[in-house]
Amino acid sequence: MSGPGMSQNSVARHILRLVEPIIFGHRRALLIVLGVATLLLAWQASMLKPQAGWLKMVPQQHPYMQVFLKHYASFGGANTIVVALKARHGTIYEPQFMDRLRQVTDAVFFVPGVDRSRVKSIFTPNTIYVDVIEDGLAGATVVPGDYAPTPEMVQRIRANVGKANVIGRLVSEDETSALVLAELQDLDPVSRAPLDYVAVGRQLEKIREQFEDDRVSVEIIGFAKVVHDMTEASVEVAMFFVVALLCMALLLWIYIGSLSLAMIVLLTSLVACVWELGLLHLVGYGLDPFAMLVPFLIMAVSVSHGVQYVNAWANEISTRGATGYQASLATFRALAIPGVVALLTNVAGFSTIYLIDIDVIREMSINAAFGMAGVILVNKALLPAVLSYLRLPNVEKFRHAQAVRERIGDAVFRRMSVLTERGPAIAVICVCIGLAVYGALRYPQVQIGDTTEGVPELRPDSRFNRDARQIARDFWLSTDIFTVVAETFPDACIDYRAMAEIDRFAWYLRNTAGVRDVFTLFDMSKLAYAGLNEGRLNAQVIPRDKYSLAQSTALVPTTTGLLNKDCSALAIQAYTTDHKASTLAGIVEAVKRYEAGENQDRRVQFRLASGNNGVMAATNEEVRRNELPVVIYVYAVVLLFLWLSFRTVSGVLCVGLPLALVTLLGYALMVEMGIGLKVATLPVLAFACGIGVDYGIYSYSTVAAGMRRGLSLRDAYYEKMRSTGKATLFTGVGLASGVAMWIFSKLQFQRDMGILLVFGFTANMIGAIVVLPALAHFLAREEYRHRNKDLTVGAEEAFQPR
Amino acid sequence: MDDRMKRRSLAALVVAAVWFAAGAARADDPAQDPAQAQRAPRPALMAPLAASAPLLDLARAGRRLVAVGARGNIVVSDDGRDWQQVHSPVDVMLTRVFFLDARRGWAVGYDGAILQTGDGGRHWSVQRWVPDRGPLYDVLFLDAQRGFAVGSYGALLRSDDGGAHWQEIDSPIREPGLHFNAIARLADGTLFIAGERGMLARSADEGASWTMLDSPYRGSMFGVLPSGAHGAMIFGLRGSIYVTDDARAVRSIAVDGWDEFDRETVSDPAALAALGWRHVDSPSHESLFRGIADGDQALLTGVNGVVLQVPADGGPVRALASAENETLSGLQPFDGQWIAVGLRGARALPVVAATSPRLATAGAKP
Repeated sequence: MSGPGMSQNSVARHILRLVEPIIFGHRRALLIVLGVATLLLAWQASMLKPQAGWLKMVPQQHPYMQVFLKHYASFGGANTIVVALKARHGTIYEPQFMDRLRQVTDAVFFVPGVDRSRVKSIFTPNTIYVDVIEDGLAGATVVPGDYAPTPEMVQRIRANVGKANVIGRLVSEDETSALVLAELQDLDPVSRAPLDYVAVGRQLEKIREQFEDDRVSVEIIGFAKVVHDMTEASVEVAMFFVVALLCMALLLWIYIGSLSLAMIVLLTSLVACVWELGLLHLVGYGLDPFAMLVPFLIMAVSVSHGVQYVNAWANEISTRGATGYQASLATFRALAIPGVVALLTNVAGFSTIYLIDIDVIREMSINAAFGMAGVILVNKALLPAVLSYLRLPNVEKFRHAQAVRERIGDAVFRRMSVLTERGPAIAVICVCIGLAVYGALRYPQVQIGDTTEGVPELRPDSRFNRDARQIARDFWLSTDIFTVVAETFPDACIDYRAMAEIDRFAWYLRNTAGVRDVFTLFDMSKLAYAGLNEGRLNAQVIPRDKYSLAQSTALVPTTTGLLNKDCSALAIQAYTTDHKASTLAGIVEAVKRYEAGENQDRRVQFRLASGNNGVMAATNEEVRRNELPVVIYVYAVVLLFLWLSFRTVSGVLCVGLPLALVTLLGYALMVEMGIGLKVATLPVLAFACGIGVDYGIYSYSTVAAGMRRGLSLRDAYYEKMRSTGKATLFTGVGLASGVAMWIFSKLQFQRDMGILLVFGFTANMIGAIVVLPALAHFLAREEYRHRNKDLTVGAEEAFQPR
Repeated sequence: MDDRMKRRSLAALVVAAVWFAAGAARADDPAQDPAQAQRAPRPALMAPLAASAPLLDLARAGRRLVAVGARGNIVVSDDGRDWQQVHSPVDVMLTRVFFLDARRGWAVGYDGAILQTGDGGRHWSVQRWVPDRGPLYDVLFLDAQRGFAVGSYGALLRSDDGGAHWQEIDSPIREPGLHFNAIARLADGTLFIAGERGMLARSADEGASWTMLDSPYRGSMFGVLPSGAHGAMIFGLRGSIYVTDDARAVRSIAVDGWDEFDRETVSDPAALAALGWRHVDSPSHESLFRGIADGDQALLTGVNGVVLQVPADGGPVRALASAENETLSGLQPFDGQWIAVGLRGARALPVVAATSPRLATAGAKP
């Protein structure tokens, strides 16, 4: 018997001696306090509002984001909605189509929040073509004032469209589709109230309903529509939660064999969720689509711990005929320490993701910590106190049901215990090595960032993303914008050299792989200058003369988001082919190359980055930078806790190795499923690992306890399977079913998270049941040296008179 | 002083001079104050999309097609489908390209740039670069030595050594300061300039002296083509087309008598005839920028992708259906089809080929 073991035992005893009286000494007071706290937090939770804070999802300290935030006021207002009308047959130059386009333009005009002066389609008065006449210029609207839906008029419109430089922008190149563009104002100009994006989205959906038929399709994209679609999908998540609850209730019922006990576990777990959500609101956070994952996790973790507790409690009663109080105390003494250690390991694991400098991940980390506090409180205080008052409703029936289940279970477990023998152990380990090699080979292929087409929040086959693809095919604009900011000196707009440098850069960027189109001030100013010069193609240039230059650039309003008020910064907007990390990294590289080697005017600096894809590039870099550290920290913490729990190398390895294998296979799964490493999936690895270790600790502690009592490994494993192993099995299924519904979410990142978590939970369960005993065959002999250092301190004493 | 000493002091002097020069160079380093510095020509970026960026003109160098355009881009094609960008020493817009034969060619553009090639457009070098002057709009060589370039605000240059040196021509026709948009040599050797606000001029002595012409139109003329043995066809703003059968006979006007703000378009046929011109009715009113002729008919292109077929004998003008709806600025026949350039770069216009077999089989531009 060695020193540390003794002290570990006595530390545990000390802790229990301290905590026990609080829970079991003043049970009524405790229940009242917890009840009142729960009510207060429920009240807090009820005030929680969905909150999709976009800035939270980005690394605000990243240098690109500094540029982004600096110019946000000038360039960030590109909050556009795009409605495309596409003729299913023929071209847009049909009277009927024109009429409908006019009606849709009018309808968009009345969408809430729309800046009416800047609605743009070929029907709006701000879309003009320049006609050159002998005396100078004649600007006229593309659609003449005397518009009537006649074939002659439609031909006139077609000719005007050709002179308005709107092909590819308002009219598709193949002339089958036309756009209505509108800008949204974030704040109501009168009331200063923030715009309700959901209402905007709903109105747009009405427009679609009204004008789409078998002749014309209506495609709608824009940030407001994304928010609307995401909010609709979030409502679905609430439904998922109900389904997950029902699933768990059913599983609990089957597992425990008593509906009322199942309900106790379920209800106390709900209390943990209430605590989590209440605390979240108390510290001032909202519930964003990412955070919605956490209640599912909390529910699942709490149920898994609760079921262990209730199961053990019921066993004490049915096998020993103990009172509810005795049974609860015994269970508490047996499970409190490993349970709390496991939960603290979870908390420590979750906390490591706080290191990632992205607010939404930090919030998730804090959120999960709150939830874990709730779980500990519920399972180590509320549940023991509640159970101490209860009696098993029908002991005889429960015992019978238990016996039947055990007969089935025992046969299976007896067979499974063969896994601790040499032959099967070697086989299992060989398979594991094979899987590890496979995972290690796949790992370098993990994509950073989003890999799907369209808006990454929504699924690739969602209506929004199908619309976005169609619009991207027909027009130059798309939802993927990568903006480079040219920072220069005030009034640079009248300096030819500075402007020429920026224009050259824009052309360079246009020719960079992954860029579909580039839009700058010059696209408009050159057209204006040519317009002032008889419409000659050879005048589509940046004029050298300062006055002509001033005249042509002044025609471009700052509201385009292409330049700031004093023209000391210009936006170079690149529409990219997609938002794959490799595409964005290539563009970033190209911009840096130009700035370093090609830029000849040092008064101009090309700064990264803005636009949604610029932000994504920053996020990708942050994710790439953090990926390895997060994994290392999580494992450092997990290994530390494992050592503290068992004080044996065997304990650390038997739990840690399967965990590492699952993490490696998680990467392989990401490659196979095309899931990228991003803000949504980075924390999932930590979550899965944190919960995976939970199984390991429960499983190994029972095996080790058995061995320390003198059992053979095989018997200890058999015993473990009969007690906590069963619970592990149940928990794995329960956790997986809790998040499995997420696979059906309309939100792509929730789906990705769901897949990874289901995999993580089930794989870790298999690891704890199959791989752990195989490893133990080679490693666990060490436990015999710690004979009599029981890990379940004082459980037996619960039955002795106090 | 022995040799070694001499060498050493010389070396010291060189070092000092270099150091001095470096210091001086730093003092007025163009990067420090670019606004003050004379801009040097900067090579065009080699860009995969050069052939689909705006192209301003298209010419034939033997079998090869050569097009020039925005940002100094020069692209060549041997089959009319695949275009390769060639290295261009400037990145400013090139407005016109001219080939004397299969090898020798010139291109002009902004910042007074004149480029020259001796190998059919593969390699180009700068002959002239004057960034404080306006753009040049057209270039014409009579033979390997004698050439002319015209441009904005009455720019009129000539070279007698194949473009190695360019001199401004001192002529009264430059006095109004109007843009000279195009220069052409008619079938009989007469030189003809068309320009801003109806400005027209001719030279019967190969550019030695120039005569201002009375104009039938007050809008700008963008192009001039030979028409028949002595005639010319001029075209420009809003689809205006005029033809004369004898450019030597059209009425001239004294430069003193020219006031571009007081000119009227002549629409009375008799008055027109008195000037020596005939108006050509056209179904289109889009501005025409560029044309190509083979003696008895011409194809003109311009805004909205318009392509007009104009018979020289006065027959009706036909607007050919074209798939384009945006500005075209150059056209060449090539292997039974038409290759056009414009706002969206280079492309084939198959529709035109089908409707104009005769021109389509013609060789290089006359």
